[in-house]
Amino acid sequence: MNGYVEAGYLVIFGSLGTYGVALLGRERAARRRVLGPAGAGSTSARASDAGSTSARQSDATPSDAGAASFSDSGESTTRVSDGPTAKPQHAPPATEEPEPAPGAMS
Amino acid sequence: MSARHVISRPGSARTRALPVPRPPLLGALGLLALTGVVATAWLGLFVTPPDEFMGNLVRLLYVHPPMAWVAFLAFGVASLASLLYLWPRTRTEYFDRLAGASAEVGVVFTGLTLVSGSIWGRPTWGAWWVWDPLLTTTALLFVLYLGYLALRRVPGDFEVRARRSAVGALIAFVDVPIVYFSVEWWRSLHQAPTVLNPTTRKTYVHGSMAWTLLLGFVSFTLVYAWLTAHRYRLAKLQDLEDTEGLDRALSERRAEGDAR
Repeated sequence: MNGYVEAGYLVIFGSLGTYGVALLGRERAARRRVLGPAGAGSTSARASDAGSTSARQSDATPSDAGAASFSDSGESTTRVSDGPTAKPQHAPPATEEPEPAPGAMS
Repeated sequence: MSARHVISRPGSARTRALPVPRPPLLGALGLLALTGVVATAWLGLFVTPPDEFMGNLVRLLYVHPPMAWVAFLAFGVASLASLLYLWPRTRTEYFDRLAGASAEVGVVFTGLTLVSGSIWGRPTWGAWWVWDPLLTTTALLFVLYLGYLALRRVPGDFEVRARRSAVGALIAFVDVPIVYFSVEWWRSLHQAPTVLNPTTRKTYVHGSMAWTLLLGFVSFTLVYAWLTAHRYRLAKLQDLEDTEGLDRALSERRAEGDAR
């Protein structure tokens, strides 16, 4: 063969491999930031509370709304869906928030 | 109850699953894609015969056209998702994120198309780069979608940012058919489509070479799907992180107000 062919394959497979690994690393790091260290390997780890405004309500996707939950480690988890029509399952009662003091947001 | 909500502090006993569930078949898709590209490389490098005219350089055929195909597919998906976002009845963040994820993966594949084509062009044409219509319009496509990705990062209200990004994606997509038909419209050093020539309606690849090329197309399409799915998940996590950061800041300000 000649060096050009090997170089072509090396560039393509090397670049795609690097991009894929970097993507997985970034995803893992983002998950850790959102869930904390315990959540890095599993989506079932602690996150914010059920009443959080975290996920935008228009965020439902066909696969998200009301779907069964799958953690990254493979185990099934109880899930509070983000879908606008889905209701929390086994979610704790939402906290009644005290009204903020006047000027609290200023 | 108030429309506002409180976010729990770290250490809260409350739990819920992260709203980025892993699709059950994503791991299998990744494995299948990996197997496919390894098989393509093995067949392309060691099993298929050299070409009568190009010799061993023809082995780049099994990876270069699939790169270009996936880039077109990725930009097509990004444009379709952008169109669906702009359509009021189908406007959801899902399509905005999908467009961004697909375009980013498309930029990677376009870059690899240019690099692998350049590596092929050096021994064939005697130059790493020529200002050929196909190469030039492909480079323009690369720059256009880099601009699109930059546009997505311009700060602003989510709705405004998503809408202008969607318009940008549709404008950039105009270059895709120009790239494809450039070898027909202008005199070009680059050869006309080999697999399915739109003019002669013939295929110029046969036997094990054709099967390996087909495997390359399928495998890299699976790689695209896997990468896009992960890029989408990352985008969703980043959005969640941003929103939770805002929630937390608001919550802390309220707590400060309560303490006074």
